[in-house]
Amino acid sequence: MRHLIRRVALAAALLAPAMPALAQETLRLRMNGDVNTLDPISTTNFTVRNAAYLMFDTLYAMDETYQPQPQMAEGTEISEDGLTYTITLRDGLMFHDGSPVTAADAVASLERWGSVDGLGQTLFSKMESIEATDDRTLVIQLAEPWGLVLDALGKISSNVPVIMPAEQAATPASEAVQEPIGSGPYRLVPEEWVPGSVVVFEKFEDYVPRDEPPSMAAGGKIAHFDRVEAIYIPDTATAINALIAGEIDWIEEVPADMLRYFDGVDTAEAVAARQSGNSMQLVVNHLNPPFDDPLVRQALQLAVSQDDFLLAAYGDGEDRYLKCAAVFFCNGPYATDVNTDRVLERDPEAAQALLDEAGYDGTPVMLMHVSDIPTHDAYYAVLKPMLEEAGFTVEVQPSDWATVATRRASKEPVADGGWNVFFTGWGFVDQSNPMTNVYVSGACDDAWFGWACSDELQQLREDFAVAETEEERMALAEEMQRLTHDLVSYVPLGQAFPSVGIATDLEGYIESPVPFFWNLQRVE
Amino acid sequence: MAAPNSPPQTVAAARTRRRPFLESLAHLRRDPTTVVSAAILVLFILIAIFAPLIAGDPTALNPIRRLGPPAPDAWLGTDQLGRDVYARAVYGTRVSLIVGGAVAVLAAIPGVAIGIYASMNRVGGAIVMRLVDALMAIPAVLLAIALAALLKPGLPTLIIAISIPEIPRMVRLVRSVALSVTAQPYVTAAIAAGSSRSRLVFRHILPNTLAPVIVQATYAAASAIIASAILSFLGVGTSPEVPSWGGMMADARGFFRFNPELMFYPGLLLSVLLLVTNILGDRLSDALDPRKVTQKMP
Amino acid sequence: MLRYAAQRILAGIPILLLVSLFIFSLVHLTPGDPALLLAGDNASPAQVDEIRARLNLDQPLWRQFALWFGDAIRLDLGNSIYSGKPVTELIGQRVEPTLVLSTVTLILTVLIAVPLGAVSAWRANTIVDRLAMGFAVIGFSVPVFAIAYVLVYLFAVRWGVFPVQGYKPLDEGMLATLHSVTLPSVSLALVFAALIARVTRASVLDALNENYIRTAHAKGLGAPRILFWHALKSVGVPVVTVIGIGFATLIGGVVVTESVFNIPGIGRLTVDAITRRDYPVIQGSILFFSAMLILINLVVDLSYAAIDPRVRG
Repeated sequence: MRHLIRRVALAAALLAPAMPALAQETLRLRMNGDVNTLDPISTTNFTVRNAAYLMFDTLYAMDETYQPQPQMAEGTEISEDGLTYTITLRDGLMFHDGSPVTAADAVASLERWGSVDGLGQTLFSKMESIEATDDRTLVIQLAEPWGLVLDALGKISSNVPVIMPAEQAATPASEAVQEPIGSGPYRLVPEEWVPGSVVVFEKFEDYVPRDEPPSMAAGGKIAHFDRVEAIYIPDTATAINALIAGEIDWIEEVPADMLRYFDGVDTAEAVAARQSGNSMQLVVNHLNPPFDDPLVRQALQLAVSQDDFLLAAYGDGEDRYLKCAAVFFCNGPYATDVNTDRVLERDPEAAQALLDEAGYDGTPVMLMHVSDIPTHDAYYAVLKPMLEEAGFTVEVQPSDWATVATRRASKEPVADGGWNVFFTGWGFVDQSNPMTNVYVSGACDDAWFGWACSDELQQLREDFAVAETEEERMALAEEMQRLTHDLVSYVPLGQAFPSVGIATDLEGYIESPVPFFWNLQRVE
Repeated sequence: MAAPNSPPQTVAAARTRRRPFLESLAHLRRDPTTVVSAAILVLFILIAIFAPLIAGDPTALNPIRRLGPPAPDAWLGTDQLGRDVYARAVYGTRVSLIVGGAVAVLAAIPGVAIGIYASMNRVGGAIVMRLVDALMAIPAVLLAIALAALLKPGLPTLIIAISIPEIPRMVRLVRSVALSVTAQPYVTAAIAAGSSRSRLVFRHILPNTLAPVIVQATYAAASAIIASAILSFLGVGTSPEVPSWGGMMADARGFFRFNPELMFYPGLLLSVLLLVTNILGDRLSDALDPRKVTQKMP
Repeated sequence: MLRYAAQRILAGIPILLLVSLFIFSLVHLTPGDPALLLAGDNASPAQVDEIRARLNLDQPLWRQFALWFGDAIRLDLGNSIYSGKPVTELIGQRVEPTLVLSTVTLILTVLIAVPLGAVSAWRANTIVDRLAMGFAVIGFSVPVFAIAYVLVYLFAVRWGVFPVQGYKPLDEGMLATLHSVTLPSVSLALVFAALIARVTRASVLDALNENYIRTAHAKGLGAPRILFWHALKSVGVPVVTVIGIGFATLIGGVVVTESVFNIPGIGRLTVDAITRRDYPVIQGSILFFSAMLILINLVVDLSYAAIDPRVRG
């Protein structure tokens, strides 16, 4: 029988067409979720951000040392008073529809970004004007000096200030541009886009990379593949099997449980990535009952235990995670343990007491159980009994990540498509900086999802932006952390160092907290 | 069983109709395959009823003991969240049996009522049969998935979602049996003799539909058990922490390579339960419904 | 014949109308507001109202249905909430994989089931028959996703003969396509063949009992020849019918296999749309499946009538 199977197998293998020839030219990626839009301004979803980096370019970009370097820009002239930034675009920049990139496009794109992004909003609040003085020059006029202008233009993570044609940038930021046009090294092929399955990119022949060697997002972006496909494979085990079998080339995240799939395998490997790791959070919606009541939010804080989440997601791999409740990352420059006890110690009875005090009426907490990301899947399973033990009523609704990433934007009541809580993760670059950390804005209606509201936090961030010494900034960061945990903007669930899965015949993968696919090439 | 005050000829007719029914059931008791299958089914029912006595808490999480080997307090090891696989498998029996049983009943009762109505009322019957045609033109699994996902999640929803696509099959069956009964000479005679409508239904039509309805309900139960597993597998069945075999198999996907037993145990139980249900359906069908008016559908 | 065909086609129209009504009410009577889903990030109430008006959600239900159905027969099924693309385009993109998967499954099924059923009938009540029918009952009883995972583990992960997942479109070559749908088709065919084998067995048994075969037997014709030239011919009709009916079952299996093997077909489109509450896509894709079913039953009825003129009437 075994012989027969072998023989049939061999025959079938011979029938298999010449796949290698194709594989040389196509890079196949498996992101954590489906790419349902390619407009990285309309959402902060990392899946969209990662895919969008293939086709968009930015004026500035972060290098390995987190210094902004010119990318589309040739350079910037800063006036002596530090109020006027004159940015010149590189020569020969071209959109994928063949039209040249002009300074007017850049202004329109930045204005759209500045209407939603936290750092962008700050930048625009410091500005007196932004205008294109000719096709290749834009001038930013500040009202007061601010040292982070180029850092903002080179923001590496969501929302990334990408440049698109002015006509598309006229779309309200709340609405996704349907078939976006970028000026990056790869071009979207809209005809081949099958939502829920695959997004296809082609090498953009007219892209002119910079001469410098690549350094994180900065430097030359060279497209070595003719074609890049972002394939949505909901089941992670299937995706890993496909990676090992050579059907795909890269997986955004390999869960700790599945690392042993790579034992003794020579076609692919799991690489611990995102140098500084990322953090997981349980985000709380402050608008909907029961969490519109601060006491109920504090009960939630006491109801959950970080250890159980970390164990459920990372198992025995203790070197892969860190118990941590610091708002700005445990190994970041603003790490502190101010006000973290309440977050790290679980106390269901105290939670119950708080619920009684708040007069909790059993309003159910709706969990959107995401099942296409294993970590999230495990987290929702762990959360439910914790909440119930503390006295919450819980209702579960099956879901997937792309849906949650859309639904979390709704400010409506739960019954009308709103939400109560969801899990998400942020990277070091986003969270370690008090200017970009979404949970400390306190900006109410203008804040990131959850809409935590605190005038004090808003004031602290303004003070932070103009603080002059590192001591001052550190003190402000500590105060921000204290208020954030008092307010329960979110419940921190620790830090982790996840792995990406990558085919071993690929070379040139850029070490970065955001995955980039230029410079990547297949070697014999 | 025979009604004492019926007119003589009707009683005689009914007797000749009913005796084979009971006799064929008695005959089945001598068939070893049937006896074994029935015994296994009873065993499953006992497991479901006495689950709390023979297994621990199926929802207790213990993340430290993830994917653990068999142990005295977890005979079949633990799953990816450290839950007792044995307890989940035992409790999973409940969901399968409740769904199978409830769907059989919920498909049969409206099915019989609507089917008989459709056989007796010309205009109403035509309308009902068009509705049945339309419902049957929607793929059953898709209809069930849509109903289960769009309504409030939970076991009752799951049962309703799976029952609704089963009803039209039952209606068609009952109507055709009822029509053929009404066409029998002794029944037309009874109608001519002034027998009332309700008498016609209760004396003639219902007893004759009993056998095929039982067979069809058995098949409906089997198809409901598999449908609930498919729904749980696709993540639209019961909520994820309620132990169900389909859900266990869905959870086991990610660990199939190194812990295939996580998929094997619930898969085996599911297959055995379906196997005995199908065998019982087949035997009942051979015994009660030799003309094969019932339709086997997975 | 032509008149009969016309009659049957006309009979399909009210059914399709009723199906649309069912699907429409299913989607519209369940909780949730598509306009809010569609409005997305930070939309103002005015914007939501505008979307509501654009989607006719502010109209009474019967009018909404009339508008939707009017658009549907002109092949305009609206736009997806999730991706913003026209539903007809989304379905169009995904027809090929589903069609290829179903067709290959159907062919495999007939190749497995008809000989199996015929041999069972020919050797009725022997060990051969019992084994074959035993296989058929087991085929019914093992869920298709369990079979699929075992096949993936053996043929894709262990031996690397077939791909783990995915679908290669026909324009990459017929062989590449067949290679990519082999495992899913086999998983499905094993289940589906159980159904067809039983029906084939029953029909062949009936046929074997008919007089002309007994006559052939008396004339001294060999058993296999009798089986294949006489019995199978009369079996064709009921088997074709069952394939028609069984197509509904097959669609259920297709939904599951497309998920397991990550095949971008309409089954997965529908399931994804349902979990995402993408109402226009749910309506459109279920309507598409129903139209396919009605069409296939129509074809089955017509071929039945073409073979056996008594059926027309």
